[in-house]
Amino acid sequence: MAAVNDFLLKGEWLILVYFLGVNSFYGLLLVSSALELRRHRRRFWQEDYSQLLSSAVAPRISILAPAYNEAATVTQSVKALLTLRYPNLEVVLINDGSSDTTMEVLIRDFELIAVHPVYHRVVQHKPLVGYYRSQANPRLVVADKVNGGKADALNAGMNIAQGDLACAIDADTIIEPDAMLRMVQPFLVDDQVVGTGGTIRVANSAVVKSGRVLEARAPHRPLIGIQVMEYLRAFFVGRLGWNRLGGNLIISGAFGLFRRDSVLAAGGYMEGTVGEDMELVVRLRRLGHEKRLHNRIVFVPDPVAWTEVPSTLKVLGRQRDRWHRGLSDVLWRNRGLFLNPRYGVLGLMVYPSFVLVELLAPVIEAVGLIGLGVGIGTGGVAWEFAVLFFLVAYGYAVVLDVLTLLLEELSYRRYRRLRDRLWLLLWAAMGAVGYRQLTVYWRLRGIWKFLRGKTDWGHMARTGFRTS
Amino acid sequence: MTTISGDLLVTVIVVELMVLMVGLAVLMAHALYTGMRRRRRDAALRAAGAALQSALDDPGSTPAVLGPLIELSPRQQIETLCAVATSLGGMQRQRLAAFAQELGILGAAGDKCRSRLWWKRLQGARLLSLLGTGESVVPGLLEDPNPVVRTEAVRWVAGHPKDPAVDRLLAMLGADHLAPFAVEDSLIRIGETLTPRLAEHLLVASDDALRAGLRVAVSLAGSALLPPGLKLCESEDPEARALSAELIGATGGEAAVEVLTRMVRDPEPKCRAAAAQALGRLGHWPAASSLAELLGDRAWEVRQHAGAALRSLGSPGMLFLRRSLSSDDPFAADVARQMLDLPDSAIRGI
Repeated sequence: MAAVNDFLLKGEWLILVYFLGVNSFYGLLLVSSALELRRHRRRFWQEDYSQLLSSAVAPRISILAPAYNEAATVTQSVKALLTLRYPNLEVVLINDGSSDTTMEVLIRDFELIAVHPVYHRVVQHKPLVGYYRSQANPRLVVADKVNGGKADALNAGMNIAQGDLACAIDADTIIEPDAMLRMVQPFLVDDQVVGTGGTIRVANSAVVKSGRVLEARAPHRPLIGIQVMEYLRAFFVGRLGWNRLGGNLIISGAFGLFRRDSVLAAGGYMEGTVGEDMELVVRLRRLGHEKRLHNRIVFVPDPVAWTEVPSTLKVLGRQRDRWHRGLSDVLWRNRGLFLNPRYGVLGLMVYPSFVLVELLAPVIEAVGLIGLGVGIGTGGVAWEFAVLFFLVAYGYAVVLDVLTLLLEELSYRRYRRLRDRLWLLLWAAMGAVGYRQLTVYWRLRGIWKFLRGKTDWGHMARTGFRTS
Repeated sequence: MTTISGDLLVTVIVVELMVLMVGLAVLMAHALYTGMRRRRRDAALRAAGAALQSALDDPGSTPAVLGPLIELSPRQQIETLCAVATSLGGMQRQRLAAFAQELGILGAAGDKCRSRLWWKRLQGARLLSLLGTGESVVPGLLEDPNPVVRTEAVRWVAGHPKDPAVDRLLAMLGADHLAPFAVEDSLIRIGETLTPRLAEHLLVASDDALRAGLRVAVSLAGSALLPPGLKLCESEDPEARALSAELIGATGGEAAVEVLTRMVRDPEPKCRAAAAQALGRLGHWPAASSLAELLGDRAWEVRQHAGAALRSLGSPGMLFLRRSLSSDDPFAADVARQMLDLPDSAIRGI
């Protein structure tokens, strides 16, 4: 028994050191993020974005919006996309074999007329069953295709699009009016940039009118409030921090801008994975190294897209399970990068960090918690150690969350009301116990499903945005 | 059982609590301070903005009317000036620069341009750009080691197209991969006055510099650009030939038509496509038969542009498209069918 307890305790110490390392790494990302934010704000101090609006050589942007059973929201979403401030914009909506009335709604609301598809099929996708142009707004193109999943729909969009740049979004994402003017900036100053990502914020309790977010509000429901904090941490700290530490591996599928010819040359979005957005970014970066193209992926903090997050545990669980399956799949497919000096910082730092800090975290955390429970039960672990474990694993995380809120307060301050900030503080504190352990379970389920080869998406029920 | 020293536990708790408390204190203090300050600050900025606007509207006014502006902090003064600067031009912009001079902002911006910190140089250049001045310092920033500062200087040249700066911009065409958009955009904004110099540049440039120059030329499309355009249609670089076809299609003329009609047989698909597109743009209906031949071209982009060009030629082109419907070549028949079914808005998009 003594040997078992000794083994348990040594294991727990190792896991504690792991948490200390992971949280300190997040702390490093936070510092990197703060520095990057300062650089970004200096770079765009008094920037006159209107100059780009009148440019004759502004690159053409095609917004690719895949839609599947979005009849309730598709009109508002498309109208919002068509009013984005950008001089050379095209909206390509891909109806991915919806079984509801999405297509009928589009035909009615945008006066669509069927035309023959004239496009170059560079990457493969399921066949088109219809191709439409809007008489009401010539910038809108709608492709109706056989259902093939999001990656397939985006590949169809990549083929059909005419833009130099293609912006992949979710059809229910609300993009801020000047987001494209901001998101395109890295492409204008560096021709090695092949992809940029913007910030995603939670719209569930925001005030929305005519497809625009008028005011950010902190949710009063714990499940949504804690997700607001998660998104803040992931985008505002994680993605931005990586800009300085070797570049991002993820651009959110809900809002990412890519050089279209680079994506087509790389073979488009990969089907058969639920992490097609991350897979594309990793492949673009990997090919950049292999072909000496120096492809760069940049995260830009101020273009903002708003999205609805799951409001029930069941849907949230499915989403997190899918995200982790996608992460597992992409990292497995690209395992050749691991500690491979040929890929420079990507292989030696970025990829290993994603394996250690993102992929294996739920496994290690679960082992740590179970070991702690068993250790306390058998008397092998003292209560003081348990307290220390929680302080290092979760207390440290709460401190980082508060510092993330501080960074938001000192920079963008999207939550204007004092009470909203207090709510967010409450959710930062509450996220560590209960919710965090649930995500561990969901992510473990994701790994398990990945190992069993499951690639389904699951259903995401949407409740719609709160309108003023 | 190994016990943890109480000191270690207390140390961890104290450190975490301290960081937490400091974070919370700064957060709340900042939130409260900005909340209280906002109302007062907004009122002061509104008053200063109104004073500035009335001073700009009245040419006889003196800097004395800018009382509310003078009371602001230098940072707020700059914010106020920048807020109106983008919507001003001509005399009003000059007056704005004069007020900025009075407030010491221009001098400070000039000093910033000489700073060793890149972001200060950027601030200086941007401020001078917005205020429409900076002739003595900004051109020097065209050689700045920082691409962002260089880009700002490039943008400044569009509003101050003096010979040496324009020459430097032409030399940067295709050579500065960190500011390609800014260089081309600024040259296009200079407009018609640039065309003679650009024509000279096209005759001596090569590779990336030539291609970038041709992209600018396509947007400007002045008559002075036709001779180099015609000459460059014989270039060995296929991309330069394609861009030249686009250029002479935009400038027009008999010589252009003659060269373009020849170019529909170019060995490079992108050149044939560009020639077809240019002929369609020129509306040169005698070229319809040549374009109809391209409907069966092995390259998809050539067929697409030839079809669209025939559509834009009107009746003669439509006649050839209808004939192609019964062509033995399935590609030609398919493109013709697609083009005949497309609405005008779709053709503009091609």
